[in-house]
Amino acid sequence: MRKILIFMFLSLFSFSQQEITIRIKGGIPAIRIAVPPFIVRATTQQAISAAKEIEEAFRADLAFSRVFDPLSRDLIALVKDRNPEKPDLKAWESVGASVVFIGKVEEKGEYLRFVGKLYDARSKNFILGKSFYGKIKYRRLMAHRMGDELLKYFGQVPIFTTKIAFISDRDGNRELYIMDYDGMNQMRLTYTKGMEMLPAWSHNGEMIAYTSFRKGNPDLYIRHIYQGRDELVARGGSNITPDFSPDDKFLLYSSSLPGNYEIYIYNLRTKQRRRLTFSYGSDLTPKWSPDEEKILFSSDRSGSPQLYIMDSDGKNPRRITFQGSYNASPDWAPDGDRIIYVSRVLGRFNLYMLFLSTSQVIKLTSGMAMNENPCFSPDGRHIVFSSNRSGKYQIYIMDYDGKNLRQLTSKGNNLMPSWQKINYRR
Amino acid sequence: MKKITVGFLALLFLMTLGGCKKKEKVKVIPPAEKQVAKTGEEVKEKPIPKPVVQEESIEDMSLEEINKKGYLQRIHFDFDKYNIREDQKPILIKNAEWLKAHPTVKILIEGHCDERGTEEYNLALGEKRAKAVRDFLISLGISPDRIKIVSYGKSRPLDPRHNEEAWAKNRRAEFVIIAK
Repeated sequence: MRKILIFMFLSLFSFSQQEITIRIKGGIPAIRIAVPPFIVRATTQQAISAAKEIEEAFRADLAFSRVFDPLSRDLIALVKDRNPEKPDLKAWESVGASVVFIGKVEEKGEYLRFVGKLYDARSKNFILGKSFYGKIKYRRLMAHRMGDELLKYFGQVPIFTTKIAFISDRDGNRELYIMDYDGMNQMRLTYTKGMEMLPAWSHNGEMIAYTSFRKGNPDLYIRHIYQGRDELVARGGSNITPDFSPDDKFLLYSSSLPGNYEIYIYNLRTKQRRRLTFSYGSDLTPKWSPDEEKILFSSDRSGSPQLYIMDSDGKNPRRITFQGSYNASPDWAPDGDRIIYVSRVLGRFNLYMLFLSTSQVIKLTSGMAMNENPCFSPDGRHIVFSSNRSGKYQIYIMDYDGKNLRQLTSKGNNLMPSWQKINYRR
Repeated sequence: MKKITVGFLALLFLMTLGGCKKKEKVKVIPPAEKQVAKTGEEVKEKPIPKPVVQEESIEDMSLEEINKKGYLQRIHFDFDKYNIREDQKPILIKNAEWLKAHPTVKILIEGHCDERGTEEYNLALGEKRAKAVRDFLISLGISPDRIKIVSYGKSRPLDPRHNEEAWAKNRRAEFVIIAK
């Protein structure tokens, strides 16, 4: 089996002075976790099925993560003794588990309690206990919260409660929607009957910047999703491709107001804006570097769309893509080293990953279909994008290496996904 | 008693009016055959219907109706290009003539693209196409205040298929009359 060392999260965790190297053997992550069947204390059918859904969602989170490697049912079945208060850790260790998660769901009227205990099978120690209490309708959120606690315990970014914003025409015209990272709880946010496009999440999870044609022209808005309020950011010309700064204080976007698309920075507090680029080409899709010091963007100033990096004040732009004649729609991974983008090669649009440190380029998708608008998960291990490989445009997620492709949407056309960001530096 | 009489008279009057109207309608379209029979004259040749063309005035129509008439024709572009093709110029010249004949009309030029580009670069390309059309119309003497532009990129294809024929149809500029 080929050993692959992944150092991509080194820079990410350097701030906490804790170096974590994730060792992946042939794509199999290191943390072997045993999750025996949950203990359920419930009498109503509703609570029993909710408890089942919590267990399934929690298992799906772990299997998706690429951080955990859950033991198979067959291995779990080998361990006969299941004392919930004192699991037989020796037995668990013998079937290959590094850690054991004992889950319990209790019905409390209209509420559920989800208790999780994590044990180290090697040192035989109890290492983490968490309890969540909430209404039955928030059952999936409770499962994701528990999963997040496990990720945090192992020094990883909690991604299971993050959401994906996207555009869908399932109700007739293109409107803004959000859903959980796993495609559940799809919810419509706009009812403008105009056209909405190119949304971008903030890092606090409460704002989505997007372009709306509600007044005929592509104007830029910020939706404060938990206040149900829209804030007009830019109008005049076309205003598209927003991106929140890691501290959510600034918004980058592109405006055609000067005659062609140029990049602007907008201060969310003072509402003042400043132009950052001055070129004859279309400067689009600005993205902050995770350390807030650089801006990645695309420009056709050389004749065709290529990717560039400049300082956050707009100075020192340098081109970073030299292969292919059409490289666009980039997103910067949280590790600061990898950039995913769309490249048009022989008329086909596929996703590619560029490693800045080595200038290596990897092709992630293939085929005749369009693959567009790639966006990293907040931990950089997964990628969401849209593709019309099944006919209509749908939203897909896959891992950083192109594995574990999953389709998240099915009704109408669904496109332009944006995965909620998380600022780990906070 | 008096009231009843008045009422009766009024009813009679209305009935007469109704009768008159009906008669008039019959008069309007006299069947040719019957006329011949009445007068007893012999007709060797059947009369041809008189061609009637009503002059249409856009003032009488709603904007929606005007746009349905298609007075202004769309033009098409080459792949990844926004220059006005030679074979499309006569269409724009015709459009400009119509605009000159209707000096109060204001238009929106929509730039559209085929699917072979990213959303954002197609928005940029569509805008360049709309601007190229606007500039061409201005060069033909149309006032810039009469023209607005917008780009929809690749979001509104005419033909949803994924082949050369569809792409050629979808690379276009459309004209929408927004004021008459």
